[in-house]
Parts: sequence; C-alpha cells; structure tokens
Amino acid sequence: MLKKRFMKITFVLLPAFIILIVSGCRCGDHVTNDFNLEIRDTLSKSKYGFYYSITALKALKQITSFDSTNAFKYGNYQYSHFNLPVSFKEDVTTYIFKGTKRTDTLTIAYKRSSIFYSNQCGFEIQISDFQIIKPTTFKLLELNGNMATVSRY
Amino acid sequence: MATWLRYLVINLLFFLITVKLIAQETKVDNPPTKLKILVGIDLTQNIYIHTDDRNGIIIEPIVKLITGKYKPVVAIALGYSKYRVDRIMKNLDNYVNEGYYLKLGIETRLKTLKKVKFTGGLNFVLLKYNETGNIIFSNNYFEDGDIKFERKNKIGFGLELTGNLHIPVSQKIILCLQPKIGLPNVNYDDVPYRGSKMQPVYIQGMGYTIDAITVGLNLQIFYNLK
Repeated sequence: MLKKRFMKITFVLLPAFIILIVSGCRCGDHVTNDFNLEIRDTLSKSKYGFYYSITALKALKQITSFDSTNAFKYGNYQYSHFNLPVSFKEDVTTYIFKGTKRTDTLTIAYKRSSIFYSNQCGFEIQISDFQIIKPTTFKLLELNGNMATVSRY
Repeated sequence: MATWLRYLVINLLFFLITVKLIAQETKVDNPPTKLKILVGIDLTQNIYIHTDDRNGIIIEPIVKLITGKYKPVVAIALGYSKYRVDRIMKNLDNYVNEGYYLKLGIETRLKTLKKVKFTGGLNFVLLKYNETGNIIFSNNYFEDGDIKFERKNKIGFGLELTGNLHIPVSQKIILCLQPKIGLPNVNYDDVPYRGSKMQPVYIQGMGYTIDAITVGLNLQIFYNLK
C-alpha cells in the first residue's frame, strides 16, 4: 500500500522535477564577448622580439602576459592567439602590446547591444560588428566576426 | 513623514476631491432599479512601493456599478503609475516605469455576514506603459559600461482573480480588502512591481527559479454615491 503510494507520488513528481530543471536558467556567461586575435610572425622573431605584456587604454589592470605556449607553428609562420576582453564603457578599445624590441598598438571598434536573458539573470551584452581601425602597427590579414589574424610589419 | 505615508495622504486627498467632483455632477433621477455607484481609490500600493529604493506615484480611481443585490456587478478601475527603482533584474539601473491601465471585470457576491460582504471577481487588465533605464555591464578589466534601456508604448494584458471583503465604515464609506491572484502575464512583461500591485511568487528548487503566479493584497476605500 505504502509502496503503491510512493510509486504514485514519484510518477507525478518526477516529470515535474525534470521540467523544472530543464526550464530553469543558470546565470553566467551566455555570450562570449572577447575579441580573438591571432598574430602571425615569421619563425625568426629576432627582428621584432617578444611581447611580455598586453594592456589596454583605460584598463583597470594588465590584460594578459605573453605566453609562448599558446603559439603554434604552421608552414613558415608562427601564430600566437589572444583572447582580448573589450571595454563595455566605450565602442572602441585600444590595446598596447609591449615587446622586447618594439611596442605595437591595435584599436578595435565594435557595436554594443543588450539582450534580455531572464528575470534572474537580467540583461547580457552582445558585442558585434568588429572593425580594426587605424592607426595601428599591425597589418590586417583576415577579419571574420570576432576573430582577426594580423601580422607585424 | 515617511514617503509612503505622504503618498497615502495625497491619495486620500485625491479620493476626497474626486468624490466631491463626481457627487456634484452626478444626478440620478428616480432610478428604475436599485443602482449603486461606488467611487473609490486604491491605497495599498503606496504602502509597499515606497521603500528606500523605490518611489513613485500611483493613482488608481475605481468605479463600481452595483445593481440589485450585488450579483453580478461591473467593476472598472483606471490607474496611473509612475515609479523609479534603483536596480532591478540584476543589472537594470535607474529604472523608471510610467503607465496607464484599465481593469474591466465582473464581481459577484459570495457571502454576507451581518453587514460585511464577501465578493469574488474576475478582471481583464490592459495597460500601456513606457520604460527607461540603464543596463550596466562589467568585466574585470575595464570600468562598468552602460547601455540605455528604452521601451516605449508597450502593451500588456492578462487576467486576475480577486476576492473582495467589503466592510462598511459608515453609511457612505466602505473599506475593501482585496486579496488577488494573477496569471504571470499580468505581471507585465517580466518587470516586477508593475502598476497592479502584483508581486511575483517564485518556486525555487535546486538553484533554479521560475515565475509562477502573481499575488497581491489591496486596500481600497469607496464612497457610496447612490
């Protein structure tokens, strides 16, 4: 009798519980807003040297340190990859790449818009229409969405 | 004087002025049936919307046309609300909501105990409103940024069920305590603290929250014109 009642309750509650979990939301990063930059170098870097830090104008802290482990070789080139956070305060962010032999700058422009996610999670920002604007010490090779490949002159 | 008390006094004054104006203009010559006209105003919202981080003006005049034995009657409520909230929905700051609403419903008597009447009602709610605010976004590397939030001429509608406890204070004045329950869309486009005095009720489980129904409790005061 007790077992039957337990089965009945389980039969009713289990689907409701599953629906509750599936329909619920977890607040977090639903949208990735970083700018993915790939820097192409020749294998011999003696001319340009190595980056040791990346900062941005009006940034509160240093963005990242250069890490050669995120670089890979392909053909005669070496590619280094960086996820660069953008400023949500302005439509433009300028990055400064400090190297052992030279300092490079890169300015990107973008469009900020908001998306309503849920009552609990609020609104999220969406960054789109990325553009690399001059002046910059890089040469743009390719730009596709939030990914760009550049080379140093 | 507390803000909510100030607005309560303003609403009471508004009520008295409305009653006086309507009383001067309304002339019912030998009504063929027993017709009562109740004009009133809602007082509740001012009590719980005027807290430290919320303030606004809510005026909700109500007209009830009562025929015969209060079974059933037409209830009409017109409302205007304007209020500001410092922050809602995690990252919407300086939120201002201004709107007008119309409630049209039927009300029927369920029980009478001495002079106290308990009635049940079903309202259709229709509103038009504008919202503004600033959406704040932040990451660890830069100062917070904001994007202007603006929704103009939005329309909302829904249904609400009400219970009404009519307590006569004098021959002409009636107090009404009104618990109510509404469908989620009466909560108006995901924005809490809309003009209908509805509070969202959340069901929580395993860290998930979903909107369920909205409930509210109103206190209204009526003047019996006829």
